[in-house]
Amino acid sequence: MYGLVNKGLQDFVTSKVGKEGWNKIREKAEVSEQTFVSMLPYPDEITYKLAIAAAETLGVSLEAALEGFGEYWILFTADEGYGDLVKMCGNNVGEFLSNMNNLHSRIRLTHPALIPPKIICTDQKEHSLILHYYSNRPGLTSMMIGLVKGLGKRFETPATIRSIKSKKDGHDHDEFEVTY
Amino acid sequence: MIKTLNIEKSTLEKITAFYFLFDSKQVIVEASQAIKKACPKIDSHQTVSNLFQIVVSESMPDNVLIPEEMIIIKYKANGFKFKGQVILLPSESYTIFVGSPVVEHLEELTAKGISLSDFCIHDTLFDYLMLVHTTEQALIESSHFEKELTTKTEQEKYGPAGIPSESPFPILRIDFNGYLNYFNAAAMPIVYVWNCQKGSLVPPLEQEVIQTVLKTNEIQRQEILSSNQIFLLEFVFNKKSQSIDVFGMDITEKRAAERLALEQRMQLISTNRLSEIGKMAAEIMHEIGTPLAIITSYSNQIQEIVKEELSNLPVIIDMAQSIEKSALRISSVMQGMRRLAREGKKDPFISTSLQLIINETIALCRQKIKNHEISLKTTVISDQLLIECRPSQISQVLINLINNACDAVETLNMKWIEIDIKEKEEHIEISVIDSGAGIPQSYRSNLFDQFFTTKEVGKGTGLGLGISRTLIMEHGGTLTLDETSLNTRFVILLPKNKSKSSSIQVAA
Repeated sequence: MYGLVNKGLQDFVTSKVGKEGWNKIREKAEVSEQTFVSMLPYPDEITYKLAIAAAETLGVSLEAALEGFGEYWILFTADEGYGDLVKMCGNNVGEFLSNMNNLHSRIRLTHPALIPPKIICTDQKEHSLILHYYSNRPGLTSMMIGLVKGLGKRFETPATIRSIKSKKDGHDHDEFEVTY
Repeated sequence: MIKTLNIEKSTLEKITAFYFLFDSKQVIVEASQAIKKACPKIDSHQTVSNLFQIVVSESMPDNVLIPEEMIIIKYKANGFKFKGQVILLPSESYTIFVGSPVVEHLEELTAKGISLSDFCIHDTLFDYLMLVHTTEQALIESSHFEKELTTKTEQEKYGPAGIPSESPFPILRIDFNGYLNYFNAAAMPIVYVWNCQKGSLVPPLEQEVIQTVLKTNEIQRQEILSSNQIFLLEFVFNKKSQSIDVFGMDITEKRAAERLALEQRMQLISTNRLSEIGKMAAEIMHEIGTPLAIITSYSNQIQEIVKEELSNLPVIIDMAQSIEKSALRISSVMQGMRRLAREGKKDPFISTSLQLIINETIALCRQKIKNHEISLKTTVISDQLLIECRPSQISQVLINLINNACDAVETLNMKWIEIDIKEKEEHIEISVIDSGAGIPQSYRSNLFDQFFTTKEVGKGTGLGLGISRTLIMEHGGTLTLDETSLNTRFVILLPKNKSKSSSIQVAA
């Protein structure tokens, strides 16, 4: 994953446990990098190790930690100088989610090592849609759930996300009903 | 459906996102969703000239030709520009303008509420803006890292609050005339050594350093010893305060560690020397034993002859000469042993006959060479060829090389060792060559590392070549393997006069 994701995770965890707490988590995860460069790709293993160590320190499950991070991610990227990029993605939850594939494909031009998830929106209505989430990375579905919740906060509208189909049940992707 | 074009609006918007249609009277009849976001009043059936101003270009110089088809229009209400072309439709009743926003940053679009979904999939304007945005972000991040690094460096020098008085490192400020203007608490030991106080002149040596900094505008470094600490001082020109700032660092532990490393190295040299003495002891006993036997035997015979045949003087003289020769041989061996047994590191560099060193060294190795039936050849040189050296250390190196050569050739059919000496203008080249076929390529890179050995367990300490090179380097010389030689050839290059000669530079 690109360094920006790890930076986001660091920012998220630091907001909960402070700098000292983050350093302890980093030591626990045996991650030597003290700082991450946004545009540099890092092995996925680093992100996973940090997320696992953070969940243990925060006393929550890994799923809960990743969901919290997903929610934080939208706010973080906006603060980190990517605000206009986030704005370009749309003016409401539905438009934003529908544009994510488009955005990811364009980001790949400047970030060639990016392996984004595939997000397809169907059955779009004024305040709801069905979200199809395809990802080869294990365990990041929780992050997607958090991300939708974060979008609700960003657009100041209560957003709910309900699982319809899950990869855990043998489906090839996760499917959610999103209302906003 | 856009009747004038006979095409669905949604389809047209997938082809071009920013367009508007106008009739022969220039009245706008249709506009895309995206252009409406940038130009909110475009839908009010106004004329093109009321809404837009046609600008050739405000930024392009006059000598740049713009294709006839290309125009730049500016929306009068907010100054938003589009670059595009006007196409007369086949019916000639309507004309269409298609174009792209003239923007340099994403925020110019987001400010108008234009989003990613307003762009056609094939439109690369958004990609270009992304690239610009990403580059800017990378620069911001890089500047952030730079700032962080500067802060960290400053903190290391001035303490966490950036205040010199809180710094754990000595900081002093001296004006260009050499007067001490400021020093913090950590600099007290330095001020004590300088024997000065605030407002007084720093010692002459430091004044000279200051003048050097002013002349060269380069940082000057100086080491200073206080009662129990060693400081490294950096004299830095401070343009802002028009002074010389001195930053100190306590390097007592560093120097102690270096001293320890040196002592350990000397210990290794000593170990190596003792190891060589041990290995040679048995052979030397034999070397001494033979002439001793001759001396004893001839002494007895002389006594017998004197008793029985007093007149047989020529025989007595002959025997006495053999006794003298044998005694000299023992003396040479003993002399060599004594040299080798010396520590050497504290010996002064003295002018010594190279032939004498070679002879004594060979005397110590002769028995081993003889035992392995190795033929030894040496260049004949003048006794007067002198070299400024520590003889015991040169001898130690030669013994190492000769012993290695013995070990290398002992199993070969052709067994020979040659010590070749060439006198050059300022140097002497001593080569130890053996009948071996050279050192394999894979061993060459770490041949001179300490503890590297190709010998079987128990036979080699691995200290030999590494130590030998160190000893030769201390003489301002080099010890190298001649990789071009067909046989194994180690070359020692030594300055004849160490004190007058600079170190020999050889690529490793």
